[in-house]
Amino acid sequence: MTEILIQFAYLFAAFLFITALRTLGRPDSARRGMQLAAFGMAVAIIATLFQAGIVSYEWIVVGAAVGAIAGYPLGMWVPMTATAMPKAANCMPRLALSGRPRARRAVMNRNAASK
Amino acid sequence: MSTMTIIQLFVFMLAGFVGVQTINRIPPLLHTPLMAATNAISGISLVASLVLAGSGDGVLATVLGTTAVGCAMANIVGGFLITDRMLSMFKRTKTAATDNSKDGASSAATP
Repeated sequence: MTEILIQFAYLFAAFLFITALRTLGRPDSARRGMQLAAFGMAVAIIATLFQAGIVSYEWIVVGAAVGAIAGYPLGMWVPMTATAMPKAANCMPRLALSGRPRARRAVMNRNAASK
Repeated sequence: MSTMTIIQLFVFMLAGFVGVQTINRIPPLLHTPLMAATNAISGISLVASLVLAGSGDGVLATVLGTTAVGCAMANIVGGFLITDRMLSMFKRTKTAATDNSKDGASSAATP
């Protein structure tokens, strides 16, 4: 019986994931879509924890704690590419696309000078 | 080929259609957050690693399972947090965002 309930929980989670992707496609409801996805993930994880094959929880707790501690700074403090990129984005395409050696040399000199 | 395999192939094909229909015609503005959210959702592999880490099938299984739980959990936590940051970023300029999407939709509608 528990097994069937777990499978239904997975089905519900899959439904939530697809709905979330659908909702993420519209700018006005994108935030809600992400919350739907997070809720679906929670449903799937909690359902899995009731599985009969799981006999000990200690290593699960250790792994989850390490993962959460590693993942939180990754998600919270990694700079967004939009703010980190412009310096590289300014000189790279011109360097790559420019057919004029003179301009390319100027860009390279500027890069060397800025280093 | 068993009946189960055939049913799984049906599910695979239908999932392909669902994927195409879900991702189709999304405004370019939302491509990056959608990609980040999809990456976070791919952390659903956590359920398999939970089963492995908790099965008590010997040292190797426990070590590999715990490593997998850690990696998947980092993916989920980081993925959802960074998607949230992205979405809150362009919530500030909400009018611009909706304008962009309208432009994208209209330009997509008129070939």
